[in-house]
Amino acid sequence: MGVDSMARLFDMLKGDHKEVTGLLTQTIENKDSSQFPQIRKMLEVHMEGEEKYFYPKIMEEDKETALESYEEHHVGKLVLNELNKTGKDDEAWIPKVEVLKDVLDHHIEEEESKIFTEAQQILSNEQEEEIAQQIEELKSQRM
Amino acid sequence: MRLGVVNMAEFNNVYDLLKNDHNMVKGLIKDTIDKRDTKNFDEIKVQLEIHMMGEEKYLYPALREKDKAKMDKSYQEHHVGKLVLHELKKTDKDNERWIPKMKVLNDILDHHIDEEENQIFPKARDLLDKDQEQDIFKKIKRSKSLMEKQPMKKILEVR
Repeated sequence: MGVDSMARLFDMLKGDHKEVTGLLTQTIENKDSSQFPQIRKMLEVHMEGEEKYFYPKIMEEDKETALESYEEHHVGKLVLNELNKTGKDDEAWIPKVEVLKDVLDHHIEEEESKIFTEAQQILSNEQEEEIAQQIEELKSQRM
Repeated sequence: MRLGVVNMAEFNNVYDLLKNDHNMVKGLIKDTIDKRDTKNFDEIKVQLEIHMMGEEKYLYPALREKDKAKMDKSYQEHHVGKLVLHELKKTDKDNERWIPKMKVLNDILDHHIDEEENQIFPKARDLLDKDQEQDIFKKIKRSKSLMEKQPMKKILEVR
């Protein structure tokens, strides 16, 4: 395996974080709900990929941290679901996006500063590459 | 079991009273997580609900007239807190997801409390005049003492 593919998994997941955070910031700043379908799709696929292929590996080594991550996703999904069923012109819609962004910012911070660091030690390069490919495959099917 | 009663005569203003609530609930939640002991959950739930109700009925509306966007977000932060509280209530205490859910509630509240104490309360001190502050203080105290006279079981049933 070449050096190029090392740590590709974490770059990919961080790339997702950055992209979705950017879209959320735009939505809030411009009070423009037009990107919401894209945000929702991206988040759903990203969370599904992590939950199916990445978190189970963390769960084996550090159950407590993994379980908290699942719960953070779960709260994100609750708010996403509310955004989906609330009228885009409802005055609570943008405040709900702000809360979603805070929840995700906190989760991303924990993931990038703690979980990815741990995962690098837990996973072999081959395992990382396998997870990266599984997540790419899921993205190509779903997006 | 009865609700832990706060001696409200100790406080001179509404902000100190609300900050005391924050510290008390944070302490109970930290204990729950550190000791993995769910016995204080009813107390946490009732204290949070009484606290949120007081803010939403008396403090937030006065501030919302001045800064609608900021206060609409505070209502939504409470709302997400209530969603997680509700899940904690309906999830078995011995489910392995119960403590992780409590940790998520803790993170949500930490963030909300930080915003409230460092942004909203200082702003409220600027925006509200003394009479308004006293009026809100009195109403929140009255609402808390009404709730605290109820046995906790009864509050949990209605809410």
